[in-house]
Amino acid sequence: MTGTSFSRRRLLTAATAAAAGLALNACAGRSLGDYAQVSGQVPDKFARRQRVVLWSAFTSHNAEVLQTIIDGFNASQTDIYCEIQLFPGYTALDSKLAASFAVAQVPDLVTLSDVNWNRYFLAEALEPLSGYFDASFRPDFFHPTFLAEGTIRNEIYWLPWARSTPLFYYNKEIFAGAGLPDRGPKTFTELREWGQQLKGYKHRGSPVKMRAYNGKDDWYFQGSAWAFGGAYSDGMTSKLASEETIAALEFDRAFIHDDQMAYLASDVNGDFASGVAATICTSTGALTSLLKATDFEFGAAFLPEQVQPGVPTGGSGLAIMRNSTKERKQATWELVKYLAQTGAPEWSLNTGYLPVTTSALDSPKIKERNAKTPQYQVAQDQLSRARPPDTMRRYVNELISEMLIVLQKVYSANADPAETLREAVRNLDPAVQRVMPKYRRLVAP
Amino acid sequence: MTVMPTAAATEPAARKPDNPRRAPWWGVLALVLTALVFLGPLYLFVTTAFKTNEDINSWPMRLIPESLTLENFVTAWELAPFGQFLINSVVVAAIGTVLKVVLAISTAYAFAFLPFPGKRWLFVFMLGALMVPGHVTLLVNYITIGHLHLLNTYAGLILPGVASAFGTFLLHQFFRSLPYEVLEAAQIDGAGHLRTIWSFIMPMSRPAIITVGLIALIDEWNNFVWPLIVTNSVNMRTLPIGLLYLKENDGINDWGALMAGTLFVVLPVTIVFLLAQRYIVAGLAGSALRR
Repeated sequence: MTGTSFSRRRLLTAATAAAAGLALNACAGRSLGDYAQVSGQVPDKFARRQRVVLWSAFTSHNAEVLQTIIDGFNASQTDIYCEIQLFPGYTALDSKLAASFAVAQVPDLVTLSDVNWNRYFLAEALEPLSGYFDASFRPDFFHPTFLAEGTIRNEIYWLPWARSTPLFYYNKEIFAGAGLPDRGPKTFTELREWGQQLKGYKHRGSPVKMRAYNGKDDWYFQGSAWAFGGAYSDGMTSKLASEETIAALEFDRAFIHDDQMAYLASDVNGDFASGVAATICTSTGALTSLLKATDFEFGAAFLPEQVQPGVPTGGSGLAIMRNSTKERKQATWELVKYLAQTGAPEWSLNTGYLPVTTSALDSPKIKERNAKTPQYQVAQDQLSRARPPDTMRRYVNELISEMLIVLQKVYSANADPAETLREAVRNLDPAVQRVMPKYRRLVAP
Repeated sequence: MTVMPTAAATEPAARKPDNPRRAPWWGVLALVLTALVFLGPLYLFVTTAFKTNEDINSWPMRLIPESLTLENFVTAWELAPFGQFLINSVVVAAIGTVLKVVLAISTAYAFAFLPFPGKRWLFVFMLGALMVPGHVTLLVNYITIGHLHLLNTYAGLILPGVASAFGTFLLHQFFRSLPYEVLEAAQIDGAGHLRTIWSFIMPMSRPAIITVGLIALIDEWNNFVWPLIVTNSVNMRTLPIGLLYLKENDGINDWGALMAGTLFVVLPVTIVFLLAQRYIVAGLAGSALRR
């Protein structure tokens, strides 16, 4: 999940990233092993081991979980020491990584989000991984949908780790009180009809809205665009201004401004937990913390469909940096193996990210948890409907910020969906043209 | 720092008693409203740090918490090594501020009192540096520090920020307003440059120097982007970055712990600021800056 907000700090980091992007361009075609390892801190007792630096964007409780897993790795063998260097979020890590190329220093293993790993791929900074697999650790160890997302022209560059999809959450207390059935809506139209039924209903003394919309992330709209039969793009051909995509946005507009039963929230999760919004679509990764924060029962369901289901994958995965030495990369691969085989079940269990390896999918502990808390099972079952975001969202970086402007204009200011989407297509054209040559050379089928 | 405007705004109000006439009711109302605008968010911030999660997540908002807890501070302290962050922040801010002030004083002294060729142009050049936003030089600084092998060190954190065009300019203007006769008298009595600075300039420009020092301190303390870029390992991070370690990637934020962590960050500078605020008001409002 890529939470993007227009705070000053974010803007500054983004500006840094843009500047560092220039440096990133220069790194294509460098010979192997000419980048040094980033500096850091190694405890004395591990000083003799091969050092592997893992750049992690996981904060707060997730950071603790990862540290426990890495402590386990360091204790499990005597040759490699893994040092975690922590960054507050994907954007911060992204700026720092791009800047690091400018001084020819790189970490070894990096968590890159679903929408920024492609940039490093286009800069030819990621190590191709297919050759590292062997009979004891084969690619089919990973969930096929997620592995395919990190595979380009039959070569694997990006391995699934903290993956998620959006999920539909509903407040059971409100649903029961308003006489709504105890399930998620089949279609978006049904959700809107339920919204009419909820009108005038008071929950714990305050009026409630049917859905809180997230204006800081266009991920959910990527899903509903599909559900209405539209898309962001077909390959690198824009579908943003297609009739179906416009219809998806028009639905949101009408739900918010005509029905007045949905609204643009600054913190959808917080509003759901406080009972202001009866339903939200939010990441499966939020499930664990929502369970902890709420004092009422809530249900989870598949995202509503319209003419078809629309479930985009998200979250982040792991990539190995190409321009380092052979020894470092080999040691890093040992870490990857440990993470996939031993770490993955613990990671999914304690963070709430989807299980993406057979070790996690078959884990009895995870099965037991899913039986006890069925919301987790729903999240896992929805996986069969999930697919990676459209090509343009992954390869044209400007698309996401442009879409956030579109969504905020429509959600908050009742702008005309067709017009704003057409404008976005026009604004994005130069960026698409810029990426095209590299895309054709390295990615296009 | 949000406290800055309030402190400046309350200062004239405190001097009001000289005036025998009472303020009209609408004036009082306007003052109260203005105060609320500043105090409201501060109140929410401080109380949230002591609220339980249940109180934080409830709607309608509970202005007066039902129960108070110190749990948030424990959580924040456990989730990230704030002790280490605090040490780093203090080291960087203290050394950075001292170097900045020393450099600013000596540069301003040279510009104000010493004749040297090209002075006018150099001064214009320095003023030009005031106009350059820090982020323009960010990557260049990073590459320089990287090639000096100073990434992830205190020196790397501090050095690029020690030259302060703003501080130099502010002190220069203040020095120019000092009575030149005093300095001439000192010179006749045989005082060298260092003696002049130490025994005459510095005591006479105390408010201006403290102002420059405080602004430098707050800048260093709150600095975010540079420490983020220049440090790698957790043990070298400063407080503003450590604070973001408390934000969740996905899901609902633990606002209690976040606000408790923010208190760790804000409290030290707030105390320093409150102790020194009469100087900063004098320094900024006095003859230092003739805008």
